[in-house]
Amino acid sequence: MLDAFAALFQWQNLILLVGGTALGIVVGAIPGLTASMLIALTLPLTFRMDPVGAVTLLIGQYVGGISGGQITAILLRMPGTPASIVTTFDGYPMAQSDRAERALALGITASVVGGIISWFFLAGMSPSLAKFALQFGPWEYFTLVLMALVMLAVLAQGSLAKGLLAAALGMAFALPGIDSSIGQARLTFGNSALLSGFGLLPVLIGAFAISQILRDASSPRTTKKVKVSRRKLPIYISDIKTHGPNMLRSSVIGTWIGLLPGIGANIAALVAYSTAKQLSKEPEKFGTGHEPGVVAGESANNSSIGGALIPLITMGIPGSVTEAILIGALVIHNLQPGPLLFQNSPEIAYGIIAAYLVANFIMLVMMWGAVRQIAKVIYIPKGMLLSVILVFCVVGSYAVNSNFSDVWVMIAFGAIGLVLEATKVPLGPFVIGFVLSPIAEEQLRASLMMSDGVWSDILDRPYALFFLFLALATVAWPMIMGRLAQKNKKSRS
Amino acid sequence: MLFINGLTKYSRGARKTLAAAVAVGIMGLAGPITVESAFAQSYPTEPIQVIIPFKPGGRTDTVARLIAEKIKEKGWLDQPMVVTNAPGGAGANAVNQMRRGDSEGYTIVHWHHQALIAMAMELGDFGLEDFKSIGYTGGGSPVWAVRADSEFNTIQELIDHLKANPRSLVEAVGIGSIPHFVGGMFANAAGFETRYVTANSGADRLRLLLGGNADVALFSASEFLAQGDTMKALVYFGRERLPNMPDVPTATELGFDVSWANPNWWLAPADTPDEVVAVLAAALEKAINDPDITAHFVANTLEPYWMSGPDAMEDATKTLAELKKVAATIN
Amino acid sequence: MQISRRKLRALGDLGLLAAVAVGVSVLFIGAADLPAPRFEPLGSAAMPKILGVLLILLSLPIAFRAIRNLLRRDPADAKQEPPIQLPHRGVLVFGALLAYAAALDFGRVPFVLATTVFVALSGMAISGISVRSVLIYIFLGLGLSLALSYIFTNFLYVRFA
Repeated sequence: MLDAFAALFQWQNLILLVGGTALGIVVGAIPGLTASMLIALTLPLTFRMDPVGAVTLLIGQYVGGISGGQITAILLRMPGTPASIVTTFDGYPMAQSDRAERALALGITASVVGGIISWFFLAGMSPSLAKFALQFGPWEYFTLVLMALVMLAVLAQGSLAKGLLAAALGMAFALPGIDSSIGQARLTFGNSALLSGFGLLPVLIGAFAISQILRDASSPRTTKKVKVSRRKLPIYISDIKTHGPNMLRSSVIGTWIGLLPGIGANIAALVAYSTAKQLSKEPEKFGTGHEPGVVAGESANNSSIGGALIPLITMGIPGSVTEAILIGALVIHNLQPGPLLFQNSPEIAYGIIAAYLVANFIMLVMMWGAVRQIAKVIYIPKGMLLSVILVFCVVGSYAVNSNFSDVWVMIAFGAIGLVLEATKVPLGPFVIGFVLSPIAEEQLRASLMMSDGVWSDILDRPYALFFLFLALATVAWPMIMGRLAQKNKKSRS
Repeated sequence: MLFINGLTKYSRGARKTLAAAVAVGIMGLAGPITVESAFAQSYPTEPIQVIIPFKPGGRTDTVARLIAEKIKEKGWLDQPMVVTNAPGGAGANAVNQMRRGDSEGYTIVHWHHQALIAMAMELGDFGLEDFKSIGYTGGGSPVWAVRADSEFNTIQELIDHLKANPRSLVEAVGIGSIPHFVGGMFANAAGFETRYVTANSGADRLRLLLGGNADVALFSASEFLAQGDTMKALVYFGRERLPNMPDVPTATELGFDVSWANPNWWLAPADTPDEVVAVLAAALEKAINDPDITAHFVANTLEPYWMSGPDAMEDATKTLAELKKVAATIN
Repeated sequence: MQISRRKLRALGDLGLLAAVAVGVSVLFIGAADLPAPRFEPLGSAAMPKILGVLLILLSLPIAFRAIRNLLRRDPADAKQEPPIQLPHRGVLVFGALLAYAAALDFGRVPFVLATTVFVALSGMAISGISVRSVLIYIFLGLGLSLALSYIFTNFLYVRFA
């Protein structure tokens, strides 16, 4: 392990790591471009590097990209990556009420803490954790995602019916395409462009970025100046006490959800956020610019990377598209990831682990140094800022699959997002429902395939029952709290 | 120069000519456009786009990039091959993109037999007649494996168990993907039936098998070997035993007429001129015989070989007929 | 006649629900053609049907409230609310975006040209027209598109055509 750190501090690798992280932050922060796209597009460049350098660069981009996503989520309400949707809930209202720097400072701190905590899991006990995660089969995946879907109801701001309608609409938009359970077309109506369904990225940037841009374009030309102060960054020792437990809890949640291949950062952030809300003494403040909301989402989405690296390194099982590409980078150098990686090429396995930790610190230093400059994004004349972002959105959604229908999907979802916002149907549950329902459906149907159609098989699955219980508790909790509050009032009066 | 190239490209269709004229008009650069002469020159005069119907990082992507890099390094083509990914829609996305491009050899596809499965399942709006085959640059075969602690040590034990207790074991497959078809062909030949659990990627199959949620699954030989002693291979679907795992019998030698060799198949649009295809084929054949490429193939349990375009098309046509039969029985 | 915000919102809700209703019927029509369950009891059509029913159920309370708001008399002070502005600049930008995508996709206009024109149009739509801003936006668009096309063609091998 120490050798791996030593190798990392050779200047070439350090440059790659710093460069990769910086690039990741920038690309992650630009609405329309995401970390996984960046990694996919830089993969060919790594072919001529040595393998340690290649993974170092890619890990830097991965960490930077997920952390960079929070910047525009907070400042402009345009999540740079799907994982930072949750950050918009409280980060954007904070920025609107002159607390942009505070939100960014908290978000960055939470990201780094999440990264470090998950690193300890990664470095300390990865093989046994990976074995544990592998036991999770279709039933467990289904119930976990179901739990996350139920939590969406908790997140709903304003009208509960509209929050749920948003989620159901998002889920319906995920239906067209190839039904992954039987490999056949569904609801494509003979259109071959629809066979791949609506892509996540076009839907995300359409619903959030495009609709937000169109709204901003129409708002008065002279924006209310958001103050960026010259003081030191607003983070205090007392924050350890106020936000420490939340950070710790959210990071652990993020790591454990990240462990499960195919689940990922989006769900981690969502579950951590709604857990924070449920346990909070003032849940009604969430969604209005409440600090714990930013902290929960950002610790969880960053720590889920560390969690996801565990099955990748120990078993060769990638948890996301990004990680599948990471495996590609290894294969091209004739390295097969798997349990033998630690034996055959320990310098790679430990190199990834070391690079992950160092990338988190590099990210901290960079974002910390730049945060005040970053916050000034708000000062750029609106015409320039919005036009440039629109170009990035078009280029980004095209470049994922080199496919123009993705651009049209993005524009269409921009219009849909505008309509939803105008009718007060929240966008967060819409996009998250879109992301989650295909996993839930595929896993439920896989469970039933496996059990030959017997539903009661779930009773043999303790973890699945546990998630189901949590889902029920999520629904029941606000009611119980409400009752208790009423009782308190009555007994007092 | 670059601009002229662009223009000749625009003038390859009536609609495109119009667009080019508009573009030229706007830019005020309307000058004599030499359309025909561009083609008389030796192919290729601009980069060749290779479309991969998968996300980056998989076998098809990796092999294409390695070969493209080698061809560029050795200068076997005058222009570089540029690999782009168009995943999704069971290849429909890639085919649509190929149709968007030209049929002068500047837009080609690198695929494998998942293409035939999509055709057998009638998924996209494409068939063999849409393509002209450039050739196979090698390929690989999969193994059927169980966990190391499984009670089955040979494929015969597994077959006997399944015959005695039909549908008692779970097979991790993506319905309508290669593992489903290969497993289905084998099950038909040996006369048994398994239960399925959805696993649409190699990673999913590994996860489910190792975690005890599936009993048997199909893996590429290199995926299997990378897992060390956590799995046991029961049967290999190549035509001959693989040197990297000499103890694993092939299905054919056990008396089941099932084999599956998944090639790296290079395809061009159907109306691509033959001389252009010949230029591409010559470069690809040189690449697959290069020692570096051969070494990568062997290290990743792929077989490096060259099969010419017409031979490859004949092989694919036969395989497609087989797959259609299987599709009728397993769907 | 002046219409109050609350009624406008109720009309908006009903419009949304009408669109949802169209979507639900698409779900049911599409689900009718799907293959019968083969590998497990749910099959391909279950999810569209479940979501269709769910969408209808969730629409009911919203429709109920919207209709009630429409029928109820507005309070007297409703007329004092500021009139709702039409987002005409947003519409202009959206039009520019559509034209931009169409130019790239159908027209196959070169990326640099299309992007420069688009940045100029949408920038002016947002911040107003003046000689100075035209020049600024043209330079901005040119710089941005040249940089992007350089990066994409030379490093990332993505082609816009």
